[in-house]
Amino acid sequence: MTATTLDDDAALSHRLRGWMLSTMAARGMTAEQWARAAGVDPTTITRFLRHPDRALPSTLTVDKLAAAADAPFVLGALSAGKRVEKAG
Amino acid sequence: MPDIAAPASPYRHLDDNLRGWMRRVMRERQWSAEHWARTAGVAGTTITRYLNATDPDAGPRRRPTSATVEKLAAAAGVPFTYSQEPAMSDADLELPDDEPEVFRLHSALGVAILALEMIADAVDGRHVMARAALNHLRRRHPVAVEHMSKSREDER
Repeated sequence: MTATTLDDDAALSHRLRGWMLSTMAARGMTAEQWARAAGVDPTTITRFLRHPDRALPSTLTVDKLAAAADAPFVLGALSAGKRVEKAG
Repeated sequence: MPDIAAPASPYRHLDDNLRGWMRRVMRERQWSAEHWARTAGVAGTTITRYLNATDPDAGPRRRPTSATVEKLAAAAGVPFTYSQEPAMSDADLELPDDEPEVFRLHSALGVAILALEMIADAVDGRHVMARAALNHLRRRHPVAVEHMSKSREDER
């Protein structure tokens, strides 16, 4: 794994954590309420919020959370376009 | 055996979105799956294995992680959005205050809400799909649902 990959993963974790915290604040719900509404284990959220440097929640979990809160989470939004020139 | 319909699999919703996004990106960029994967710095088979997984259980197992999708999205310059559903906002449904009848009679959403409420009522609120759909509408269109519920109450 390269240093760039680690940076990318850390940035994604940071962004996902920020999205979770701001969504809970905006909706006025606890992690447990959100998890229950989404049909996922509450510890999925709390564990990730405490240790965002560990494993990211699965794609399905993020999708369920986004749907339950009606709060879309966008991947590739910040870095979109950066690498396209390199590829082209 | 329960006598109620099982809710649609969330796997299908996510996989449909994710696979649709991948196919659209490859079509628009005119990229092969291998080229895209290489550009993003992920394993060459990441995309093809997921797109070609026909076994319903294989799809979830081969579904890329958020970190991988992030890299694919960044490489293509096309964001992927979780929970992306075509939806109208309540602002889209806003009608003049003096024309509630127009709203009630002509809004497709209104008709859908009425139908769902009737289905839910007919089986004493036990119809899981109807209740789930209503809850979804309540979250996305609270103003419209409240309006329709009030109209029904008035009619009774």
